[in-house]
Amino acid sequence: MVCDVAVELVGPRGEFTQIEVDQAAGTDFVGVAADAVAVAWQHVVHGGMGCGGIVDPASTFRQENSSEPGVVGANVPSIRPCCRPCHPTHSLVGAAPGSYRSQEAVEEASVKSVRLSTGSDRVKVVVEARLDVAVEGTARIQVDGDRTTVDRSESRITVRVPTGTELVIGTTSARVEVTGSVGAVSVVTDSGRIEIDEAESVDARTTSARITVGSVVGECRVRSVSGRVEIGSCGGADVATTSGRIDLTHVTGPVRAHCVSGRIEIELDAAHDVDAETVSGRIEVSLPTEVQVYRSDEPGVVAAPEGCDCTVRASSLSGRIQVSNR
Amino acid sequence: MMAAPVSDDPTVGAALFTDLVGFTEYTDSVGDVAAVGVLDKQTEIAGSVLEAHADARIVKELGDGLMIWFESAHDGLAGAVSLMAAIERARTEGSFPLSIRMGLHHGEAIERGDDLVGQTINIAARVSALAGPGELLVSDEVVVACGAGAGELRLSPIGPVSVKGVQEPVWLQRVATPGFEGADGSIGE
Repeated sequence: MVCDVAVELVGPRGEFTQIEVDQAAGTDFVGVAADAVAVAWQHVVHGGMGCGGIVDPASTFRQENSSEPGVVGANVPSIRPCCRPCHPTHSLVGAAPGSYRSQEAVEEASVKSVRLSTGSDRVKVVVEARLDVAVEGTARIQVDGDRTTVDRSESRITVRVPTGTELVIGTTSARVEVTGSVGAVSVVTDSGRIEIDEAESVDARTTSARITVGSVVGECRVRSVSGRVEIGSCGGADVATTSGRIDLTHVTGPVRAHCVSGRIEIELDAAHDVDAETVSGRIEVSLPTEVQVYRSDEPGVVAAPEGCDCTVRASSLSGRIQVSNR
Repeated sequence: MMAAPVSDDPTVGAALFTDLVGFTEYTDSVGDVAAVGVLDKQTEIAGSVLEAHADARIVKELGDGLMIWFESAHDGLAGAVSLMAAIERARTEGSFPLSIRMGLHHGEAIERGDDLVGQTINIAARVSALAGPGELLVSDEVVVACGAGAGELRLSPIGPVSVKGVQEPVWLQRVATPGFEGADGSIGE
């Protein structure tokens, strides 16, 4: 493919406009139009149509009636056919009219959050030193201010985002992998597997996926029916499973752990309150040697009495409970 | 047997599903009689809370859960937050042994006798299933329908979930409720 397209949106700057590429309106142009949008936004949607980004600096198309959403394609020169069937609709929403060049787009880019909604297969989010969002795979991408939404993905997808981006991810059964350091991240999936390297905070929900979280600055909230939950370190945790085992290590904040029949193991690095509850599963809580623990059997966490550093409430109808210093 | 009468026009409102977390295991541990006592207590608490919401009604009991219908999203959200607070308070006082989870969705439903059916109901049930102990999840439709009324609550995005038979994913938010997070749960008009 040899085509390089710069997008020029003509119209009063600041007005809402929309570029929409409709495959039915010009199948041959879909790939290029996708590239065009990608160039305009410095690969914000690069590869989003599954066509790659090939550029010819001489080619420019204009979206004349910029205050109205329009179909782009018919007047784009130097076009080569799309390499394979693309997603039928691709839209870039919320762009201000005006001329956009790739370098300018990079300098102006401001991505705060990315919302991903996919079906099955695999979702990989790579966090790296960049200012934009790049998508590798077939999907619809919408940009609305500082929020990018990626959805209607039917196959494996990789999304590259800036460090600290907030992520909201939902899949049916895909494996979700987040590598690098993100902001707040929320993941919902029925099955598959969830792996998160580093985050400001985590909210992960699944029916059966195993959840592995490396390091979380703030609270880690997890809900699972049968998947095992492992958290390397966090500033607090609220974890509930039905039968999945809960393993929390290097915790530096309050913990609430609830499990019906699975085992709970909590290792705190400092004195913090713990509320752990199972119906039949075993509970083990371990704290540093110097911490004076108040053991409570009362419902809910009560304040530790004078002389104690924290309250540990661990209750189980039939499971064994062990609270110890290490 | 005659079929239940079905309304011609859909009614608009909010469907709330509740579920007791670990009820099956609890029953196994304490026996049927004590378990039934918990269900009675739940219905009693719900009935007491719903007295403040004239348009709300318990549509039916579903095993260890309830299906409650509110005539508006705002009332549904307020009712759900109040019910969660009442259950958590009862747990703290030691008069209720289990946590509750809830899901709320807003939309149209068809009245079939005393029951309500439709995708709104199906989605609300799915939303409830994703909540954890002591959690209230709501769909974006609830938040949008509440408008500024939801502004005083602390909402956190959860993500999109797919529901069988529904083409577009349903985006969910978690509502901070009194208890562990210390939110007051109040809702403005």
